[in-house]
Amino acid sequence: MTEYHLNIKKIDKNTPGIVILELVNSKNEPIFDFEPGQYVMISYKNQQGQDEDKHAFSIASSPVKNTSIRLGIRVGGNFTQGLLNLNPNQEIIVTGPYGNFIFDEKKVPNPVFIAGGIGITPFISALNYVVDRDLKNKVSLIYSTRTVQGTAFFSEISNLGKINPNISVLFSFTEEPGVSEDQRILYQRIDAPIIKNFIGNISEKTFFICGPTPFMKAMINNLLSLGVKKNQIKMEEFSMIPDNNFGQYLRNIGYALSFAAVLFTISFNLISKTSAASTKKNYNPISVSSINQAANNRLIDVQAAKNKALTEQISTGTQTVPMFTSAPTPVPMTAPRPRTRVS
Amino acid sequence: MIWREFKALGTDIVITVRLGAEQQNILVEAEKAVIDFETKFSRFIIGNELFKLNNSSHEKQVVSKTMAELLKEARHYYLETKNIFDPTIIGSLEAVGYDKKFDLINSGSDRKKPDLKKIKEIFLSRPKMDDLKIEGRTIRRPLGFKLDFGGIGKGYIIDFLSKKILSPFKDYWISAGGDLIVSGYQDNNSGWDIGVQDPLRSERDIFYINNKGRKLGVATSGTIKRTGKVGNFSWHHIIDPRSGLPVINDVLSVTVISSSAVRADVFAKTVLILGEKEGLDFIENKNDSACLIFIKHKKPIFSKRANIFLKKI
Repeated sequence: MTEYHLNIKKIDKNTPGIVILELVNSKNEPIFDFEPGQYVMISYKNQQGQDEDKHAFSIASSPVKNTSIRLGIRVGGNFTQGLLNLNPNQEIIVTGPYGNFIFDEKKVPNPVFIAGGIGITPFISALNYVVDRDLKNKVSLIYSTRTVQGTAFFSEISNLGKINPNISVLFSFTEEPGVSEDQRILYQRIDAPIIKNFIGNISEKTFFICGPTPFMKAMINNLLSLGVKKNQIKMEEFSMIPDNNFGQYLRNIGYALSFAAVLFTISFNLISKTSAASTKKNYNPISVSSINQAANNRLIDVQAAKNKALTEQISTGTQTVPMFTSAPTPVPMTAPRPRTRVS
Repeated sequence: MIWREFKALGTDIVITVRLGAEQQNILVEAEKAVIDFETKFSRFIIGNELFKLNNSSHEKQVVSKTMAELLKEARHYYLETKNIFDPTIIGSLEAVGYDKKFDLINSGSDRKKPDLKKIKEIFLSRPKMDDLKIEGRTIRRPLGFKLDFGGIGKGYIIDFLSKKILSPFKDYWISAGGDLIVSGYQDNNSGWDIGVQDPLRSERDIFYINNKGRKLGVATSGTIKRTGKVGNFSWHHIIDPRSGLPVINDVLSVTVISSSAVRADVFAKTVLILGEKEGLDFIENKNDSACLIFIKHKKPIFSKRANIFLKKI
């Protein structure tokens, strides 16, 4: 995977607990192609001049405007705290894009994005994409946060909804008392009647959920109680440490076979193989994205990358990892021989 | 023969098998199985199944089928080795500095010398394997019970590959950092010659073991690798469960040949901890196992059955 040496164009720290980085390359040229919902791995030099381990973050900008990429990051651990000390023009090393939590406008005519907290980032990319392409897809966004002040991209989302009339937005602030005449703003938790009231007919909708585990659990419950089918739900988990019980919970509601198959990066393509409704997706209890806003253990990232490559090889029958036979060409190779050694 | 090499479990994995080019995906599946296993059961990955087991606040848990099997396997060897193989030594490993994946451990210059008395105290008061109850996939264990599958994991996974993924094939060998499962024959229809590392000159082999077409597990354990220094305290990763501290004896390394990789893996560590005499007795009492013991300033010692497989270089 190519490494991109990008520079910080802008650091936005206006939302408490959130830092938004805008990255560009030195020539202000397109950086790379990506799809709405994908993520990148980034690292940077800390104040001691050491390279920080790579961490994964969703891209929160439109694929159409790819001369820069934007990342919305919740500040938590050392890595993300360190981002606050960075300055414009400082270098960030980026690899990617990765991930299958993708909005494909041709396959999903009526997406409903449900975001909890910083789980909004992949949907920001998708919403901007809808606006930039002037898509006619009917897009709904339900965005739940604790307070207005702590809501990343609040103004931007409000404006996007105004620019493209096909975008409908509902904000929910769960820890802020209030009453609003604006029907797009609620001061309560999202429940099934609210969802039903907001989106109307559920039958042709595809639901994308992204956020912390408890939030996702609650949203799945809501959707199932409304009669939403499992293959209409696509998920991406954002949390520190994946919830053990959540995997069991999902299994209980019928995801067991799909989720147990691969620990990492279970694409929604896999789910779609067993269901009629075929759309790109992914979720698993310890997915790469689950570490997005977390301590982001480097080892997990490495594991995920390995596993993803292998899954792709198995599904496509291609070999991208070197494989040698006893008669390789053009450089003769000697077969390894068994050897026991101190391990 | 077709082979595949990759890194996992903190070491090099090699799978060599006689198969057709069109069957190469088997090797990819095998690699995937190893990566999956590491993902779930490595002690160094936060949030995985082992992490959750070690950090759960519930005494009763339902675990995955593989976890339940691993726990049963671990308990079996704990009993068979009379508590010498003990996967609950994790606390001691961490206390002496083995608290990150080996290739991530820094020089340790910034660490203080461990308090050996305290390590021993914590170690001896830890919840033991005897406290673990397993019924199907339901386990009960006291809070604070912590496990590390480092002593059993590599053997377990390569046995799994042998039994499940490579089961249609006869001629192959799999190595996980020197723990091996070998089966069948090489291209020339002779058994596999397995090099045995010279513990004093690690780049060269000192003997060959030939499997003579049989399916065998082979593993070597020693105190010459995975070592470190914390302050002035030198440590290695083989902990004597009787003391909670790195084992101290004259054994440099032990190679065990057995009926499976996990047995060879566990028994090699057991002999290393028990030492020359007791260790040899232990192996002589196992009718499926043989060993080679390399000792400081002495000639190597072989168990009786070792001669069946030994071949001079």
